[in-house]
Amino acid sequence: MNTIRKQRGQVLIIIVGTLFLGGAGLATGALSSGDTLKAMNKDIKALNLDDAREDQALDVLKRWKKAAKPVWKAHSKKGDEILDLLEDQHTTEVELRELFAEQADNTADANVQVAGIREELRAILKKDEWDRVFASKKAS
Amino acid sequence: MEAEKVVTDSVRREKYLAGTVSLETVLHEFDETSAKTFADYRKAFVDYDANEDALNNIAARYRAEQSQANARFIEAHLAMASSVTADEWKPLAKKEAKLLKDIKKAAAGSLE
Repeated sequence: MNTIRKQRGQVLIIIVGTLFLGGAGLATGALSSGDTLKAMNKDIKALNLDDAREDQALDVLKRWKKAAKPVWKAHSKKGDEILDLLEDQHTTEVELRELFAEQADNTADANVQVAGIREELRAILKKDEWDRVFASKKAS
Repeated sequence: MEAEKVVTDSVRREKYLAGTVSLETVLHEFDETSAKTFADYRKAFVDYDANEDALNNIAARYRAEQSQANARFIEAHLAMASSVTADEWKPLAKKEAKLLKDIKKAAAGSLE
């Protein structure tokens, strides 16, 4: 029991990323591809695609970034609401379940969105180009 | 330990502490489960041949794991809240909330 208590801080640091932010992390690229959108941008430029395809690919990343912002905002806000409820001793199970479910719904929506964005990028890049962008992530 | 200072009655204190252990167990188990799910997601994401359905299936698995963990988390939290008096709860909840808020901030910063 004591060991668990001592490790509490370390455990929770990782946990809250999933509990309160959850799959919203997927929406930013960092958790979905193992790479940040900034790094992906750089790797796509390094492919030396023709201008039209490069513009298309970079536009996908731009829209991804734009889509991620409200997801982060919504998750953060909901996370704060959850924390407020947890602080109140009289909070009911129904209230907590409702907020956690809303957070999970937001995560699920964001994940579907990310999978769609990835499809757009996949349609632009050829397999060898894709592999060059994500090569290090595939090996790790 | 805050609870040992705040909760004077040994029965209530033990109930509260048992709740904290349950809560930490849920969090720890969910951490392990979701780390594996995220790893699978990343693997599928970078695989050119993996289609949208493959990703959505892993995301659905995460959703199920998250729902299960949430239910257990809520159960443990409510057990803690109901085990102590209002006066005892106030400082304990405040400390817990501060910890969670700090961690939430750190987690968000690390992923942006």
